[in-house]
Order: sequence, then structure tokens, then C-alpha cells
Amino acid sequence: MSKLNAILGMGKRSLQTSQMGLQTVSHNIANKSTEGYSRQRVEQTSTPPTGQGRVQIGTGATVAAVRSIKNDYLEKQIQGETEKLGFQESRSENMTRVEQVFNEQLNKGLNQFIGDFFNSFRELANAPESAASRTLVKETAKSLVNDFKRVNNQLVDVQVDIDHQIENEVSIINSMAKEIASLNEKISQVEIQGRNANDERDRRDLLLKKLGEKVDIKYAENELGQVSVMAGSNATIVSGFSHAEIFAQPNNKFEGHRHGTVKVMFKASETTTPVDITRQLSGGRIGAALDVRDNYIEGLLDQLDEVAFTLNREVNSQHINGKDRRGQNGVLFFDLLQSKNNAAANLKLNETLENDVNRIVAGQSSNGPGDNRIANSIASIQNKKVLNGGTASMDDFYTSIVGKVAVTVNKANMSSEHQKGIVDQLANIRESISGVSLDEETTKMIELQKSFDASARLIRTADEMFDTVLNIKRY
Amino acid sequence: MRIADKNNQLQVLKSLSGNRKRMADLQGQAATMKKINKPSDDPVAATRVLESKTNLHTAEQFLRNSEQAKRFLEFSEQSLQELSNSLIRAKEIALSQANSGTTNAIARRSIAEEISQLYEQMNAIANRKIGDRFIFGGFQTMDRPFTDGKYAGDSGEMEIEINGDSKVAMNMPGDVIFLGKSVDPAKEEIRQKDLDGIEGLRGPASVAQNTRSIAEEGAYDYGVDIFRALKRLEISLKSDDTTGIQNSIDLIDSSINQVIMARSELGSRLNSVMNNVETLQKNVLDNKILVSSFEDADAFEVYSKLNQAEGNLKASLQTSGKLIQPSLLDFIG
Repeated sequence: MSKLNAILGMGKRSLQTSQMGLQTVSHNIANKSTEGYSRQRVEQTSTPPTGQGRVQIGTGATVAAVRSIKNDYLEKQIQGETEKLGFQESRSENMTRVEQVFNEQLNKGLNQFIGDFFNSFRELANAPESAASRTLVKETAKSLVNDFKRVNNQLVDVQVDIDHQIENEVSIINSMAKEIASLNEKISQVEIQGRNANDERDRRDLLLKKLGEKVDIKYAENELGQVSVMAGSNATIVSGFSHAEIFAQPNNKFEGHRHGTVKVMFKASETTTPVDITRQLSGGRIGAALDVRDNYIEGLLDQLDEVAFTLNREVNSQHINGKDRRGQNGVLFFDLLQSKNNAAANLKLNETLENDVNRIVAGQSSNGPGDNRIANSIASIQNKKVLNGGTASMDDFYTSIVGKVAVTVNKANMSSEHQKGIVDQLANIRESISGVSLDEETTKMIELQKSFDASARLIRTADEMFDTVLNIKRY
Repeated sequence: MRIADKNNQLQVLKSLSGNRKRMADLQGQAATMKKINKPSDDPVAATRVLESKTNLHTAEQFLRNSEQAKRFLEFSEQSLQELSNSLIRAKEIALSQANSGTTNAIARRSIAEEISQLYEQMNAIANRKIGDRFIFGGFQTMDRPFTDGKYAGDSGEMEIEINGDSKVAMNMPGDVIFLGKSVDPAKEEIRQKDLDGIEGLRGPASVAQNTRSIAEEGAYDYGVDIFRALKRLEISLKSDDTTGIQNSIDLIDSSINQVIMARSELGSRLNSVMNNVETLQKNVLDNKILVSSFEDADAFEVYSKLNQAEGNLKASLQTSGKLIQPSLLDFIG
């Protein structure tokens, strides 16, 4: 009798395992497009057999576990490469914007305005008596000053835009940190009961990848299955069930920075004072944005200031040596700049000249309308080696700035493409391990359906056997 | 390798986006007909283009400068040619009147009138203008440089930049040409002393005596005041002073030499300007070719690449459809 019961029980378990298998198949199919999802498999094992006399009889199968198929080492590798990709992409995007500022391929840029400026002095040297050539000098000088401002402002605009990017990224980081903390809680709750928290782990792995794309993180898992996440070198943003905030704070303008560039602050808990962790962040999108903002653009602004300051100094020193059209002593051509700081933004044509072009100096002697010596010496500044410690003319210097920007952008674009290739490759490998294949799932579905059918048939057979046994007495 | 559905998708997306990007790049090139639309497209070429454009820009300005210098120099030269013609005429007159036997005081007095006209003509030449600018006044281009043989200009030379490293003076100060002022300061001092000597004296004879000493010193050592020389001839003619006339011949000879020297100086400057113009024009052309070779797209190449890229895109679209669509589900009931 017990044997027949055993067949019924086995049939029931078998129904259950096939059903669980089908449930997992449908879970896989449903999550085919879910980002970061790893396909799951039901692990069946045979149940322990029973001994009957001299034989061992099997007792059927049961579900041992539902497991994710994934390679944890690969996930970690993808996380690291995604962080680099975030860095390279953000760098390339922001540098491309910087490049636009210096793009003279299609529009007139600073290089041409500098050329125009010196050429206008050559025109003045051709006709030092003329008011028209003086007006030309004034107009080209104004355009030059405006273009210095344009370049300066556009670079600062990129910096300000990067500030917005950082603010944005920081708020996303906070929400991700919060979700990771709550996933930590769920995972440890599930796993303490000996089950696998497959979906939660998939989600958490995905979040770690996304977090790394934003900023450089370090993370480690403890024995309870909880990860701690550190941004930069020591800002612990997730620890166990709790998470801490980072936030973007506008920088004080007077701290030696030129512009209101934001700092990234870390607040460990409600009660602690926030710490500035800006310098620690060197990876991911934020790391790249900070690098472009604080090192690259600042460097360019400094070089631009250098050109503007030198122009100011050289032109002024010639201009005040001469006599204007009425024989008066020459005044400053540009308003005197005290320091290189912000020279490009502060460069300004002397108002006296702006109001009266006759104050523009062409000659050296007070009584010589045809005297063009000063105009000539101002024009010759263009080819004078006045920059880089007397090794580069203004043209050389500016061209080398553009050249450096071009090379950097070119390299940034290539690195970004290259890194994209690496991440794509890894993603391909990941999918080939963990991705859902409909063909596979369909096959599995048919297989499981068949065993479900067979199990049901088994139960019916057992039932008929019972009938047979029960009817023995009647005959 | 196990192929999951996502593998196919990633593959399809990658090839499609790659093809689309190439198309967009080529489309950009075709639209602008430029290979380089931003410096990073080709950093080396972009830098070279920028350098060449700067060179081009300045070379074009130098061409304009040269044009200006050429105009000035040519006009000066031409004026001096007229001046030497006048002086040659004066010399002819002087020669014809130097001999006491062939002519007489009345004839001399009447021919003195022609010298006077030549003097006026010379004065007009000395006060020539281009536009509003007197060409023989040094830096004093706005005021008449010569009035009655007195120079109101200065010795300024208007230098024009005709190339990155060279300048040429486009004018010659009038005192050098007409008053024989030497460019050499030492000789100029001696000449000045002699002139001062003359200045103090009055009357044709005594002046003649002093000028004689100048003439004897040799015309090449220092120059002659051409106005005075002509004036002397006129006075000598009027006063029927044959010695004076003969001395004038020497002086006018020296004057002619002086003008010829000035002309040859102007001529050599003009020559160097013209040579430079040729260099500049070649420079402009070279730079234009360089810029074009670096940044201009070859239309044929771009279009054929565009066609190719379009073909690739279509092919990958077609294969993508085939790759994604079928699954086992399509074949089971």
C-alpha cells in the first residue's frame, strides 16, 4: 500500500518541480529585456531513495535551488571597465565642447582676429595721416577684444555646464546609494534563510556598474551579502543598510577660484560636518568632468590670459612711446592690466582712443603726419617672440594651444571609442553567459511541459491502480 | 559560444550605429566639402592649416603694402625722371651760353626766363602729391615741403613692411634729392658748414666763388642744392656772368648725378619690392594649395565613400532583419 502512496506523492512532487521549472522559464522570458538580468535555472536533485529488501528504490526529484547563471568575476571586470568608459566618454564630450571654442575651420576665430589687428596697424603704417586707417585700427582692436572675451566666456560656460552635470550626477548617485542600501537589507534577509537572492543581486550589480560610471567607487561584500561602497578614496556612501549623502556645493568665489565652480561634499551622517571630497574623485563621469573643468580648462584660460596680457603689455609699451595725430603724447592703447589673472576677460580698449581715433599713435615724432614708425613696430609684435620665455610669437603660441586642444580631443575620442569597444566586448561575453535565449527557454518549456504531462499521467495511473486494488474484493 | 538574444541585438546595434556614424561623417564632409570640420578631425593638419591661414593673411597684407610702396616709389621715380630732364635742359642752356663769343647779354637775359620756368617746374616736382600726401617731405606729408628752395620737411623715411623680416622706405626725403643732404652724418656736417658760409654772403659773384669750392670738392662727396644751382645759372645768365655760367655747368652736372643716384636708389628699392611681390604671390599660392590639400575634401572620393557607406548600411539593415526575427517560436504550433 505504501508503495502506491509513494507513487502518488512522487507524481505530486514531480508536478511541482516541473511547475517551478516552468515558472522560472516564464520569469526568464519576462525578463529577457531587463537590464542586468541573469537567466535563472532550477536545480533539480533526486530525493534520497528508500531501501526495500535488497533494492534501493528512487523517490523522485525535488528543487534544490534556483540559481542565477553568472560569472561574478566578469561582473566585477565590467564594473571596472564601465567606470573607465564613463570617464572617457565624459571627457570626450566635454572636450568636444572646448574644441568648438577654438574651431576656426568654418568660422572666424581668435587667430584671425589677432592677424586682422596687426594688419590694421600695417594699414595705418601705409597711411599714417588718414583717419580711416585709424578707425580701422579701432574696429579691429574692438573685435579682437571681443573675441578674447568670447573665447574666455565660452570656456567659462563649459565650466558652468560641467557644474550642472556634477549636480545632476550627484543626485543620481544619492538615489542609487539609497537603493543599494535597501537591496543590501533584502539580500541579507533572503539569504539568511538559505535562499538565493538572485534578482536583488542582479539589480545591485547593475547599480554598482551605473554608480561606477558616474564616479570612481570601491566596494566589497561582507559575509552577510551586504556591500559597502566607497566613493573616491574614503567617502563611504553605502555601509550595510545605511547610506550617506554627497552633495554639490557652489564654491566660494573668493577662494582663489575664478568662477563659481561647485565642490562635491560628503556628509557621513546627519550630525557630522560635510567634508570636501572634490579632489578625491578621479574616475567616472564626475572624475572626468572635474578634470576637464579644473585642470584642462583652467590651463587654457591661463594660456589665453597669457596671450592677452602679453598683447596688452607689448602694444601699450610701443603705443605710449609715440605721438598721436595731433602730436600729443601717446596714451595707453589698452587699459593697463595689473596682472595676468583674467587678462583675457579684462582686456579693454582705452576709452580715450575709442572716443577719438586721432589719439591712436602711428609715429614717433610730434610733428610728422607721415611718421609711421610706431605703427610699424606695433605690427612687428606679431612676429616677435614674446611668449613662452621668448621662444614663441603670439601666432605660434595660439596655434600651439589649438594644436594641443585638437590632439587632446582626438585622443579623448579615440580612447572613448576604444573603451566602448572593450565594454561592448565584455557585455557580449556577459550576455553569452547570462543572457536569455528564447530558443533555449522554448525548448525548456516544451521539456518541462512534457514532464508535467507525464507526472499528471502518473498520478492518474496511481489512481487507477488504487481503483484496481480496491476492487479486488468484489470478484 | 552560446548566443543569447541580446548578443544578436548588441551586434546589430553596434554595426548599425557604426554605419550610421560613418554616413554622418561623410555626409558632413560632402555638405562642407571639407575633410576637416573641427581641429580634432586631424590635429596635425588642422595646426598646419591654421599656420598657413595666418601666413596667407599676412602675405596678403604684405601684398597690399607692397602695392602701396610700389605706387609711391614709381611716382617718385617718375617725378625724378622729369626732374633730370629739366636739369639736362638747363645744362644744354648753360653750355650754349657759356661761351662769351657765341651769344650776348640780351640773349642770355631772355633765355634766363626759360631757366626760371625750369625752376618753377622743379619746384612743382618737389611738391608732388599722391592723394593728399606730399611725397618729398619726409614725415611732413601734409605741408608743402619746398617753398622758394627752402625745405620744410624732415628726413623721415616711411618704411613699409613688405615681408615678415624686411621693410622698405617708400619715400625719399626731399632734402636728399633737392638739397643734396648726405645720408652720411660726417659728410653732412661738412656740407652744412659750406652752406652756412654761402648763406652769410650776398651777391652772385661771391656765391659763385663758394659754390665753386663745393664743385671742386667733387660731386660725389656731398650733394648740391639744386634749387640754388638753377638760381645761380639764372642769375649768371641775367648778369651775363660767363664764369658764373661755367661754374653752374659743373653744379648742374653734379645735380644731374645727384638725381640719377636718387633715381637708381628708388629703382633698386622698386626692384626689391617687385621681386618681393613675386615671392609673396608664390607664398600666397603655396599656402592656398597647402590649406586646400589639408582641408578640402576630394568630391569624387567623398561621394564614392558615401555610396559605399550607404551600401554597407543597407546591407547591415537587411541582415539585421534576418538576424533578429526568427526564433523557435515561429516553428512550433
